[in-house]
Amino acid sequence: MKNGSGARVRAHAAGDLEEATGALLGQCMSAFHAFQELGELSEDMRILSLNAELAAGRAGRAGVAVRALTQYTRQLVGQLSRLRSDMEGLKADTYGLSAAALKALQELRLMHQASSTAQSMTPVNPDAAESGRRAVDAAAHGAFKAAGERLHRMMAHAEELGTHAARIRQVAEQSSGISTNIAIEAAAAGPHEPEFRNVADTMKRYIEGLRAMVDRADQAVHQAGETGRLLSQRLATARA
Amino acid sequence: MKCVELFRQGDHSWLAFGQDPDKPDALIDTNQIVITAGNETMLVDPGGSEIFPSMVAALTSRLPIERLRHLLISHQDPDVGSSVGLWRRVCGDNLSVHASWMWTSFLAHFDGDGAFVSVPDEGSVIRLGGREIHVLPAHYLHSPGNYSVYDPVARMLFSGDIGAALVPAHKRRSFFVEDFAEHVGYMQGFHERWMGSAPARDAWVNMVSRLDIDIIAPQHGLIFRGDDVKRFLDWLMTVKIGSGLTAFEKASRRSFREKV
Repeated sequence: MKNGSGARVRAHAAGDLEEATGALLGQCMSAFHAFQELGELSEDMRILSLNAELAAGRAGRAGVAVRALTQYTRQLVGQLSRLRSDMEGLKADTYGLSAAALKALQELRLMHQASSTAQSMTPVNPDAAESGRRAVDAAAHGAFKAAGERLHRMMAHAEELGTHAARIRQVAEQSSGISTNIAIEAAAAGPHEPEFRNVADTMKRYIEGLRAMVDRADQAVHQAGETGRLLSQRLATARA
Repeated sequence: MKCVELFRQGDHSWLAFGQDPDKPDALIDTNQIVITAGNETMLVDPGGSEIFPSMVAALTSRLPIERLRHLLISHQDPDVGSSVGLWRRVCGDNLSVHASWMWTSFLAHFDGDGAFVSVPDEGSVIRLGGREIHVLPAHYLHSPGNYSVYDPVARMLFSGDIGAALVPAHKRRSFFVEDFAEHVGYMQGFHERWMGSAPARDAWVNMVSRLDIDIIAPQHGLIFRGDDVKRFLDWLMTVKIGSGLTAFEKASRRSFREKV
């Protein structure tokens, strides 16, 4: 039992998996970070819609359509809040999963190193060495299984994050439609035009901020997807 | 990793593992003690996770892993027991892990999945293959929750960090102290700085002086045997513990903003 090259290769593969897991966590974190100011932005949108509704009330009949549009805006703000809350949970879970995956991968690397070291030795008691090898291999298998399960959940989280980003983009597009309609209503609102136009312009600014967040998150989610595919390949290779 | 047999009488033995030539230089060298009696084995201070691969390979080269029933962690330091979770993965439910009641919830940071057997301040007795292995208090030397391990039949004492020495690799010709006077140079600074209490030192020396001891094996450095056992205990009583205390005076000389 002098050939430990197989175990050394497996130890190296475990190191590669650790590296890719670190990269996946970094990319997920970049995506979460992109939405760091989502709470503030959705609160700004909520306050804007409340002010717009007050202005619509003051405008009487000229503000009826604007009032309906601002109520719809608040529904969208509610959706943003729920998405933000979901993402906070996802973020905490991703941190926990990555820590657990890295721990399992470290265990896997150390078990493979143990196997490699044992194979390079001439055992004093061959039977004991054989039972030791089986125990270490079983522990390595357990660590691999645990790491794989956690990594697959992390990859699923990255996909879910992509779904959330897409949903936020939809909210941005729906809000954009609302701001355009408010601008149209402003044109026909006579003395209330400046107030409604200001609402439409402010809303457009917020929507631009929202789009920029989604663009940044999309980029990180795309990279996370690439890393996830790489991880899946490496896991399949390591399993084989 | 090297191994030396410290005691053998039938199926009762003490082995010391250490001086791993493949160990990264950044890691302090540690001695791991393996006691076997009958069909049961006990590992004392299993070492850090980075040396786990060498240690498990070296141990299983000689002893069946399924006989490893007890693991004792003398105190909370990472070089002593950060590998605990890895040993549990390999040994499964067969393994009882003993540690001071003070440290069990701290050690859970190394391995949150498994339970620990809490050792009370006064120590405990672990039954190993029909023999009694005594866990003796060594608190404040250096850790406040710290133990030595004594085997009255083998007349062996594992002393943890007491007797530890930072010996350069090129000076380690064997596992044993060969020149006590020279060896003092490698122990002095360590004991002055790492040991926490002169009264605890006095109490520990008083306690172990009543025991029949052929060998004292520390967790770092070389092992004392024969006349060096008494030489070591006599020397330990002379150590001026507390060299770290000068740091307070040095820090006070810094120009802090005066308290108002």
